[in-house]
Amino acid sequence: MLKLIYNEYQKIFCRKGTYVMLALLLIGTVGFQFLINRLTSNYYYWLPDQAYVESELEWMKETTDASDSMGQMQIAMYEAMLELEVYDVEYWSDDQSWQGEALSNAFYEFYYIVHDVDEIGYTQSEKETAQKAFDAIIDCIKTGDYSGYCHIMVDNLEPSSYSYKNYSTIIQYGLDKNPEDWRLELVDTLVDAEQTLDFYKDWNEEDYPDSYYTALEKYEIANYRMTNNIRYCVMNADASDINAIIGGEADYTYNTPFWDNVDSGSLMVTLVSIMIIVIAGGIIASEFSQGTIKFLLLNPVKRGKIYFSKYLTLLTLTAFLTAVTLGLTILSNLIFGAEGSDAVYLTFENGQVVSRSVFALTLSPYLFALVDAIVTITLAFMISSFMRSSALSIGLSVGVLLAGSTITAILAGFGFDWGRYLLFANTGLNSIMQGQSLFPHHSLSFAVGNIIVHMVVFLLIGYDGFTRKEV
Amino acid sequence: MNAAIEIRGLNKYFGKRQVLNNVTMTLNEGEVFGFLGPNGAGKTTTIKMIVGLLAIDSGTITVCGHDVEKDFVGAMECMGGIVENPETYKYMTGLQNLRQYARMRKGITQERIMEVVELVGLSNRINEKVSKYSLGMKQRLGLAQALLHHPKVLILDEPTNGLDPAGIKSLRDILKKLAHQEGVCVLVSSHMMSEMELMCDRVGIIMKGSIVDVKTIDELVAQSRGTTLTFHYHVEKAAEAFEALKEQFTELTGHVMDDTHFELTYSSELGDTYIGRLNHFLFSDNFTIYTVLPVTNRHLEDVFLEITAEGGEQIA
Ligand SMILES: Nc1ncnc2c1ncn2[C@@H]1O[C@H](COP(=O)(O)OP(=O)(O)O)[C@@H](O)[C@H]1O
Ligand SMILES: [Mg+2]
Repeated sequence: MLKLIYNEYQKIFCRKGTYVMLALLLIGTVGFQFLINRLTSNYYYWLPDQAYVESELEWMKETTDASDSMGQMQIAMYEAMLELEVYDVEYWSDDQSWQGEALSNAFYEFYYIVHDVDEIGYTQSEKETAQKAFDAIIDCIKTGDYSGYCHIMVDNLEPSSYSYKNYSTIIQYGLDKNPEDWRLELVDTLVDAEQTLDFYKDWNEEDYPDSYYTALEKYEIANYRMTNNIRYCVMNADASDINAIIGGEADYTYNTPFWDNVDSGSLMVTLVSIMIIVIAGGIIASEFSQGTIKFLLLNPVKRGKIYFSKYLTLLTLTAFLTAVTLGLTILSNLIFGAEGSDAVYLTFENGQVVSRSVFALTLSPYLFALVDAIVTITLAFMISSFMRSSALSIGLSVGVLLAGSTITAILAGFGFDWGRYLLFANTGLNSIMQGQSLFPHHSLSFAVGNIIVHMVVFLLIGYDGFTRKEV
Repeated sequence: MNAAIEIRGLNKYFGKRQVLNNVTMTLNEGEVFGFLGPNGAGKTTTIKMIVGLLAIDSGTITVCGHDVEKDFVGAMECMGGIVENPETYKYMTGLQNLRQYARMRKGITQERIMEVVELVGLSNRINEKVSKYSLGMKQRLGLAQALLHHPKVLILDEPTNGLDPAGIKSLRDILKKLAHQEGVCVLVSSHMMSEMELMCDRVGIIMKGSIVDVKTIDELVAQSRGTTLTFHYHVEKAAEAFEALKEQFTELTGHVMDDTHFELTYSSELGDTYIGRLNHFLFSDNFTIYTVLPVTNRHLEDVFLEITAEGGEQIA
């Protein structure tokens, strides 16, 4: 049997066409990764600059009258921005510099009190404390002292306020030592979750709502990442995570461009499918059309054995090329320098954060794609054997591969429930597993069972076609 | 002599059309058996059934004692052959092709492959892609493939197709050697009697799906002679010589053609040495003989056409 499979491989790899297809697969896979790497890393960020701030200031001065104390505060702030050369003050984004954030806080938290902008009636001592804090922050900006700034905030803010928690958390984890520390990204999540947990602090454990556990999970994972310095990770998606839903990854939140790209790369297994369909279409039919079948069968080997060797050849080649696709995808991300190759998969189970390999996780879309590929390849193999025509085989199988989901959608759309019994309503196992099938109550086991039945029928029809003594 | 291929009561229908009708033949070890018949007679069909490419509707075929239907693998182990055109994988070299077949059979060494390549005379071209081969070279490759595993039965369907005269000669030598020295049973099909005559020990003639005759070549040669022998004489003074002969040997017939040529005919029952007596007579009567040529008015081809007369015109 191994010798027969070796024979089939030799036939496949003695053909030039095979190398053309392999080259296409290579270009497709690497090219796709190149594109998504460029698309995701080259966003154009607009940053406020000196000219922008100057023109804003000019416009404010012209349109604001002296009695508008809020306007006056803004004018003072723009002047401070120009003096300190910090322009991203009113630029609320993750990319805001800490100086921008500090200057903004200096004005909205302290200048606001010193000049009593909304005429709330602050006392003199309050105003003096605020003035001190304001001056100290400006000092910190001038000297680049992030830690000093964080401490000023903690010393002067209401302990119940969100900002206080924010800065005390920063100090607690020692992030004030380095304003470039990536972990500052986590502070928001941590404080959010902590506040939710605080809210339910006095409740009975039995009464905790789902949101409590969601917050607990978020808190523990963020804390784990903080203490273990895990920048890149994959987490189970939160049902409310808009990004995950829009991104179509209903299952996981990829906090790592590297593995996110690898996950998307499973799309390229379709290329493998098409390539093997072309090979499967010819693997029996071309023996007939070229007359070589007469020599193939003129050997002391049972026909069934030859038939299954051919099928096994296709299966092993498909599996191998799927692995190659995965390998190429990972390699191209390494070459294109996608970040987060060291990511781990974090879950919160039984009160503990568990860290797993992401590789195992990204394997699953490839495995599902592989199953789908094998189904269409079996179809092509059957037609190749039964009709003895490679054109028919390739045409029908690629047709099913491309149009199958559309046909399913149309049937489901018109409410033909029997559509669920069709083969191509059951491929796309990944989405069926995620409950995204167009047919209601479409379970994974139903799909798998349906696929197995189809495959067995295909193989039997093909077997009958091949062992028919009519050469 | 042991039977190598036994065909009993073989019938084959394509749809409603009967293509083989009760074909029964026995082929022995150590003989080259010619399977002769016009196009469409059913040669290829019979051969395909022997090698298991076509289902048998009724009847049995045994090869070296293995029933080809019940023990396909056993039967194939002692058979090698070419059916119709020698189509091998064009995108591979001759050697790669042979290795493919070697992997499907037992115990074939690299030496054996090279031995067979040498035997069929492909040594110089064996590493070229088959797409560059001529039809004759493909035939040789096909033959090499068929011989790889020392088959006891060799089945060749119109193997002389595309071979040059030297190729046909060497094929003939190979087949004869295999049969007569190694005891292989060789079945060669053809639609040309002239080829068969030189190659085969026995021929079976098939017509419209029925075996019409199985004879040794010697029997056929005897049949081709018919009942009379004719000789063409080139002599000095033809008319006088002819008259003198007729006077002495009254059973002769014939005619004078010109001053120096005449032809005479006599019953073949008079035997092969009769012509010697005639020549001796002319010699002692002082006639100068330049040449005496036998006139073979009937070739084996004519016998073949006679046997297959009804089918000669229309494709069966
Ligand atoms: N696959 C087929 N279907 C129908 N008729 C066939 C088929 N193969 C051969 N025949 C017919 O069977 C007859 C015998 O053909 P064949 O054995 O190839 O003749 P040959 O003696 O020339 O090799 C022919 O009349 C041919 O037309
Ligand atoms: Mg023929």
